[in-house]
Amino acid sequence: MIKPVVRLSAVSLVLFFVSGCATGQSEPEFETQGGQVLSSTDTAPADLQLTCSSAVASQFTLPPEKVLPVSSSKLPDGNFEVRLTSDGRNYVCTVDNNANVVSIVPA
Amino acid sequence: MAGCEMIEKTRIQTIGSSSLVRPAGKKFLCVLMLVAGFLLPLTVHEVFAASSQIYDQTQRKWVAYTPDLARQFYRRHNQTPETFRRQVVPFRTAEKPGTIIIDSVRHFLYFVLPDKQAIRYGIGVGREGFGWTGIVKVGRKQEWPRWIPPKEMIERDPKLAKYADGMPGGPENPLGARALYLFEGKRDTLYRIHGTIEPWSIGLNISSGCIRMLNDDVTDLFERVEIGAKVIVLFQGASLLKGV
Repeated sequence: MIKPVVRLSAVSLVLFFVSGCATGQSEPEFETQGGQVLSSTDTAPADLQLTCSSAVASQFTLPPEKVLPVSSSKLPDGNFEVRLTSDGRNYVCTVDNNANVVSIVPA
Repeated sequence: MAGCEMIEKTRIQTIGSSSLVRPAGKKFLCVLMLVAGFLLPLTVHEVFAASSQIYDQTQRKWVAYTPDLARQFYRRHNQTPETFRRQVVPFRTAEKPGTIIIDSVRHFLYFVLPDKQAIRYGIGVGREGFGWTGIVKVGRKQEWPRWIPPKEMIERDPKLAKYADGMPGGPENPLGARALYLFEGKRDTLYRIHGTIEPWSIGLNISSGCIRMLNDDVTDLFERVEIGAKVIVLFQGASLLKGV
């Protein structure tokens, strides 16, 4: 006659091994075709960021190699807002998906 | 080298929803934590390495593209996801052909071509706290570069002490087949664009600030790029600026 406590422990042990816990395997199972990977962050594409960079350099007569996009985000209307810096001064540029600069303002 | 290619192995145990915890005593809580710890072991670097998502047909949803998934994908397909494979893409820019543009968020390196086109390569970039942004240039190119592990890395892993004077270039060398040394004016930034012995790591935030590429890709780029080429590194919200 097996005591209930022992029986419960044995069942728990079996379940533990069946569930894969004892192997410590961490690799999740997944299936994908082709492998399209998306960024989790909705930043502006690199070419649009650089479009803003050129526009800021041109509008404020700055050396193009000194104007750098530092962050960007997608606006509700589908345009992108790009924040740029040059020699400690900051600018905000709005650009649409066709690389047309909508606005540039000092921040 | 300033810590390029160090990978933190610090492990944390992530525990599932606290709503699962019932007031059934400490033993139940301990068992729950133990089981959850086995089921969901994530490393700090795995959590922060995943800033991209891949579509999982099993779950029918987008899931974080973690190092575990990246390794699994590479093992099954013997290549990186399609997104990160070398391809010519439209690229509207005023930058000269021959310029390199790095989009760290999307894990792409663009080599600008004439006629508003660019070659796009997949890359691995700096993990949380190791990202940087700036405008630099290619100061030097090297085939099969030597790798010198930083002192802090040797302290953590004494087996690397034998490479204190440098590990010769070769298939075991973490810098891979080629390296482009990035300079700020005449000064070496200590950041490089280089190959890798971990091809699965393309698409992740995993390095210590260097830009990783597949060995085939970095060899292709090496042949195209000239010394002095402009390199623009875009990194969302990076606090470290170079060259501006």
